[in-house]
Amino acid sequence: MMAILEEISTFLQNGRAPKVKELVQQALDEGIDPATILNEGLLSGMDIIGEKFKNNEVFVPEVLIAARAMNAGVGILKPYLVSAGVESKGTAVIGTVKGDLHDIGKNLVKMMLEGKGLTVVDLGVDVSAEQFYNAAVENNAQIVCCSALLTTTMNEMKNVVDYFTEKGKRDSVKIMVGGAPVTQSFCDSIGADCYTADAASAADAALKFCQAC
Amino acid sequence: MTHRERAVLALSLQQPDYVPTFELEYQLAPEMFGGDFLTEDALKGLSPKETEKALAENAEFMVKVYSELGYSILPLHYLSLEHLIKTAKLINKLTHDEFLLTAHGDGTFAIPDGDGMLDFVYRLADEPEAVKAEARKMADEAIERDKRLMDAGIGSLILCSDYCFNAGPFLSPAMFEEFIQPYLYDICKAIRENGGYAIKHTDGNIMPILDMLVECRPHALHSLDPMAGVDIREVKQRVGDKVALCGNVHCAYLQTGTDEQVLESCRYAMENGKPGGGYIFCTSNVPFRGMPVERYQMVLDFWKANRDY
Repeated sequence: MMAILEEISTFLQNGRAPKVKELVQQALDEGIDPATILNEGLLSGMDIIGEKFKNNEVFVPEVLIAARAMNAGVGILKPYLVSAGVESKGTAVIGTVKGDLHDIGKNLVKMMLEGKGLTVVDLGVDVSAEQFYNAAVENNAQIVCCSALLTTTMNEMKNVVDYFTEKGKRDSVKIMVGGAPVTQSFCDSIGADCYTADAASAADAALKFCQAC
Repeated sequence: MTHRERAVLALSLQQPDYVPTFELEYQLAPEMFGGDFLTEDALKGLSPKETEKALAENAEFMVKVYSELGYSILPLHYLSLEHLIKTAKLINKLTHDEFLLTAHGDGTFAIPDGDGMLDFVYRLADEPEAVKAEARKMADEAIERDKRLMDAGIGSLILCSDYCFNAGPFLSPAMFEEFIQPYLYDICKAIRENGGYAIKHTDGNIMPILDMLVECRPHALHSLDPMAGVDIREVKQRVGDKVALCGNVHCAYLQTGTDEQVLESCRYAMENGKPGGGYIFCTSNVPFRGMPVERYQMVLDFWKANRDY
């Protein structure tokens, strides 16, 4: 890897947004391909942060500060990526299910998905099955991510799965579920496609789904 | 032995006549007792005389509910400071100090909600000294408030700032040491100095910061969340000689598990928490609204059958 890309990755991991911006601009000025800067500098740095997060070597604040640095770099890169025709690695629709207003876990997963180069459509909290469905169709999403914190609201996830089935679109998306009370057996029982215990693993799984599409 | 004495013995790492119980909140009063606890909103627009009457009726209702449930610690919530103080005095008078009362008393940073999280995290990185100044102010305010509550007869404070997700702490241990621990220590110290009891509650996987929590010298740790992988057996072995333990009965099973899972969780918590004292039997969250009443009754029945030393 080129030294400047390694530097971008390192400064990103340390959450140094201004430095990341500066280095991304410098890399562009040196004629490095924008997709290479994205993949080998920014996303590579977020991958390392994601792995460290899974291993409890870094914690949520470090991840969010790194994500801020990544977004600063992406802000510089974006026009170049668009003109070079570099496409997103996939699209995910995410939200906290109907009746549940908690969004900490949902926001973490969103950050991690963006850190994998996916486009994320954030529907917020208290999202109905119909809203998940409409957003997935409108955005041609490959992934639907449902979050719940409450034992009393997690059953709404089944309604999301059932709604996609009723509409005949169940096979066109992968439905991922997560949140404090959610387990693999619950995921299996409602017919969702994937449960992960943490945000970084959710992003890994989502990227794999998109790559398989 | 009064409920208060029983709770105090457990919180002091001693062995009472039987393992006490309580809950951080009890949300099943409408289903099990045909009424609910008074909230500050319900007092809006009432005259002073009507307010006094409502507070008195609420105190009587609380005593009825918690006496029947067998709680040793009574949680006082949903009211302003002034009305909590009045309620505490009413309950202590009605019961001749039978119970140990508790109310919220934390003043440390909890995991921020979605809207505030990014702002908080960026401030940790960009202006740590300002964050510490805010932490000091919050702790000082909590200490002052806690003193007023204790002066009114609320003998314990439950410190409910959540620090952990299921996967682990929100802040790294190093950040916890910098932004939480000194302030939590001061709050617990002030409670002790005022003759009160500090019960530190947090959801989630506390194991990476367990020792740091204990170093803050709360009397007890509450919830010991099995959904986050917290094993009361391991916690008891590691720190059971320094801090009392409350909880570990798997709350989600009460909603979604089988009867066998509920009873097995009760058995595990009781068998590993009870030996030698220093344990208060309760769920890992609260009996929340919507939970099947019979499931919580199962927990209480288990407790009654297995609580004696």
